[in-house]
Amino acid sequence: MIYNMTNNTEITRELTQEVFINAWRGFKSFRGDSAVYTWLYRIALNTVFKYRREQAREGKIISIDGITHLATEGNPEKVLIKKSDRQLIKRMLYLLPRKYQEVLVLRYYEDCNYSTISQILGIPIGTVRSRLHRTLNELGKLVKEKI
Amino acid sequence: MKNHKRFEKLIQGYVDNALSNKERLDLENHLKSCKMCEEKLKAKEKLLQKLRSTKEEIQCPDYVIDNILKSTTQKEVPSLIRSYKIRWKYLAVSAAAVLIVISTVLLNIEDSKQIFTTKGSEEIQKKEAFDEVEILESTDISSDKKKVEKEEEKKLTMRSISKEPDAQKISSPEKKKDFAVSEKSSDITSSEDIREFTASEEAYEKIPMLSKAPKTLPSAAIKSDRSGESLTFEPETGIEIGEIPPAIPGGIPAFMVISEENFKETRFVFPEEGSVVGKDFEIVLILENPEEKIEITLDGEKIVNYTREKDSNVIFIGSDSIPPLEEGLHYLSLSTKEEKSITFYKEG
Repeated sequence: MIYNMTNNTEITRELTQEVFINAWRGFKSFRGDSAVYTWLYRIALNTVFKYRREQAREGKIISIDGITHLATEGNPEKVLIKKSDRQLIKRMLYLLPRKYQEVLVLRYYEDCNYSTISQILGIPIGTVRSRLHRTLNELGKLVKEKI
Repeated sequence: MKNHKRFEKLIQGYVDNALSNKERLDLENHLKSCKMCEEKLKAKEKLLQKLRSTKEEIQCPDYVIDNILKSTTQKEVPSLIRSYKIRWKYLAVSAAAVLIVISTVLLNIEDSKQIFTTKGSEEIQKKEAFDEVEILESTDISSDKKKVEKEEEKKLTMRSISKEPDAQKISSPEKKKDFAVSEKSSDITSSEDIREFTASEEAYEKIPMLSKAPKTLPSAAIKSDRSGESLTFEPETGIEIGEIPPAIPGGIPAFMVISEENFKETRFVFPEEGSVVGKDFEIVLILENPEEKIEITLDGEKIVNYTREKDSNVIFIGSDSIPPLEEGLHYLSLSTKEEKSITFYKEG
């Protein structure tokens, strides 16, 4: 999951270690009212987004396949159009708000069902479905615009 | 139209295989007659197909797993845990396996007579290092006039770092109501069952601080004067050993030594089984690092009133600074105030 959200092997390794170390250190706070793997997912998501925030704060650009995904970067459209739909989708995914990325990654990369996503994110099952619906609509729009 | 909106929402559940049988059948029937919904479904499935195809998996390298294991096993245990050592254990208690030792000096002094004695070497007198003194309880004093409660010998060691070796002498051997200290313990103890303590070679090896100190630590036996109200104690070596809290009727004060290494949280039973504890006692913690900033919690309550001199690694928690300890199990935990940083290992 981390790799799919960072697309960088080295960063993935570092963040993976951080996830497990944080989990180990914070195990006391684990209340046991959910499965361990859902708890780990939550830590992993927090770790990834925290990392991204820090990178953004330091002015560093997160690149995917060597091409910046940030829309503000110089003339990205030209670059993007040359790429396949598959790559484009992944780039657009990173442009979505955090709450959209989370459900998308959990559902379509991690194959979590609604109930699991609901536990990981702490939202009702109905919200999972409606959020996925909105997320796909947004993603579809973004992709369509770029193509 | 209202129904149409409902089906639009169901499409998401449909592609996620999260509809009930009834919902799925309803939608499938609707799709037969609604081209718009059918197109939306197809567009969504197409997008999802592409999205799923972007999923990539990588193998977690062994070194990452190794690093995680290193970081989450004892090697990476925060230094805090390693830093708490009650070195006295080696001196006072031979059984290294003992996790918690609450060594108390417990005497019913109504009929007993206790005298502090010590014999020390001249070299130690000038040492700034700590001294070791053992308080022994004699339980079967042969003298007809003396009676002691305990069968077993109770030991207590005190550690004190004297910044001024020639500090003032507080008590005088001549004062009957104070603890008397004699260079020759045999003078006083010959007729009484007082065992003397001698630090073992093993103890020196185990304790870095001790290994640097002369191996001629004074053996000492401490007895209390039953009539004493003030138990200020100082050996004639001139080294200030420490001040023992005032005596209370029926017993002399006790030190409680929690003798467990490497603990972040420890449990101890108060009082030690089979012992009688005076109301005044101290819990003494020795930190490896004098600069360590810590928080101490007893039974979930943060302890704020404890004695720690500046830059000292010794912490005294007096019984007057904590709520009265009820009999039974108690929890003492220590934590650092500062978050430890996490170290990552780079490949290669």
